[in-house]
Amino acid sequence: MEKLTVRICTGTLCYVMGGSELQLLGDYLPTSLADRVEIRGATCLDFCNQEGKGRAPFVLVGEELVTEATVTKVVETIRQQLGEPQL
Amino acid sequence: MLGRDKYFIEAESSQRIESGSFASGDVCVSRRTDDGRTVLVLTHGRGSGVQANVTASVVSSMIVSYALRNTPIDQAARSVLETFGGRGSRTDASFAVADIRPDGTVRVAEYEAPGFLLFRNGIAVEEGDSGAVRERLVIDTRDGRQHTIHLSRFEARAEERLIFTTKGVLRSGSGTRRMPDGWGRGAVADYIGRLLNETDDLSAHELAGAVVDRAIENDLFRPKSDLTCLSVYFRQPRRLLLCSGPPFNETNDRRLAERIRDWTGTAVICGGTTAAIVARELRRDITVNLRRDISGLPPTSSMPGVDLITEGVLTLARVKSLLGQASSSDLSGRGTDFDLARILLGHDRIDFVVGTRINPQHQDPELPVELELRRNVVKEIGRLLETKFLKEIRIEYL
Repeated sequence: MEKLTVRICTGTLCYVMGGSELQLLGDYLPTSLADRVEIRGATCLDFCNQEGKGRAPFVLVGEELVTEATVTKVVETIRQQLGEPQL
Repeated sequence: MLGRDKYFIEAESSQRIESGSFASGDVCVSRRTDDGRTVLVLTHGRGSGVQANVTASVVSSMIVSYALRNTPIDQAARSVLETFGGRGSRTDASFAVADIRPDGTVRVAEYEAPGFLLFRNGIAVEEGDSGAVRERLVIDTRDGRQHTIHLSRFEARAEERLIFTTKGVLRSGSGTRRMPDGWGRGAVADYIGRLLNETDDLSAHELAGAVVDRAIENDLFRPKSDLTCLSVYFRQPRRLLLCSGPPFNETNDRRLAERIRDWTGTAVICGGTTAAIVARELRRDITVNLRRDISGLPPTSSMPGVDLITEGVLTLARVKSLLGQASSSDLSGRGTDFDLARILLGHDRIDFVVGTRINPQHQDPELPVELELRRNVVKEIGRLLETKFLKEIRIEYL
């Protein structure tokens, strides 16, 4: 089965706005999700330079952009995308 | 004659204070002048401790000031000897000065110093074979004493090494059963010869450190006097290209990428956007090494043909303060900032290509940390590398 790709922006702005925590995303993923998700880092995704895209840090879950991302927010978005029940 | 582009002059020293003392009587100063000369001074103040240190520091700065103004050495030496009395006085100091021109002409002046060693192809060159023009300069000071300065002039060739030590190094080990009369000049030369035979591209820094370490060992790990070695290596320049920041005009993106593509030395990119531009233009894959770095800085990335990719301003700002605080080019810490600083210090000629496009979001006053302007950080790193670590720096804005 194709995995859901999660891309975490590691650019300067995302990093200082709290993105550094997101690097630990893999550790917080429940085992039921971990096998179905591929976590990747990305050099600056450049959303910070685009008006109306919201605030950093940015994470792309599949095609969906998560703004002001936190580990909880990203895990929730992954659940939704994979059709897992919300906690 | 060797041109400026043919080799780089790496000059480094290593020092150890006499056991029980807390200030070194040996002082080493190196300066690069605006016209590209390298001026090196190694001074030993009489005795040890603070008095020796003060004498040696003053003498060194006097000699450097004279040398930087292109004043003939006899005038500088006379001034030092008139002020400090020279041999036999309470405040005498011995000194060695090397003035190295970018065309490879080396002038050395030595007063009461052990005499430099010159290595060609890893072998110590005897005085007669060095091709050096040697002269003795006799100075009569007002107190009626006579002093002799040994002057030498020669053309350095690529891969040669010039080594100065203080007498403490030559005397190390004296009184021990193994070397009752001390290490001695011949044995020091043999030791350096063996080191170079094992590793012919040993850096000046490593060589100076190895000589002093051996002298400490000779003194059974309690140095009986101050130990200093100053080592100069005329070597092929190690070249580094560091690109940071997206070009102001997007039309220059291709140019930036081509600089990386065509570079033959070490290449480093500092900045996620910059790395993404290069990857896009050169159609290369880029992978972020998603792991926590001990430095707390954002992760590094990898791309074929680039030796290191880091985040931009945060990492550079950290490197700036590391270089500012470092007292030698020996950095032993771990983390991306240390890795980058070590790469910078391990190269001789560094080309910075700085993209000047600013991310307006970086100036948001609500950011939890203050982000410095890339241009200023790079300028300061360049200044430190040039003045403190004697690197050759070029900064190009794109």
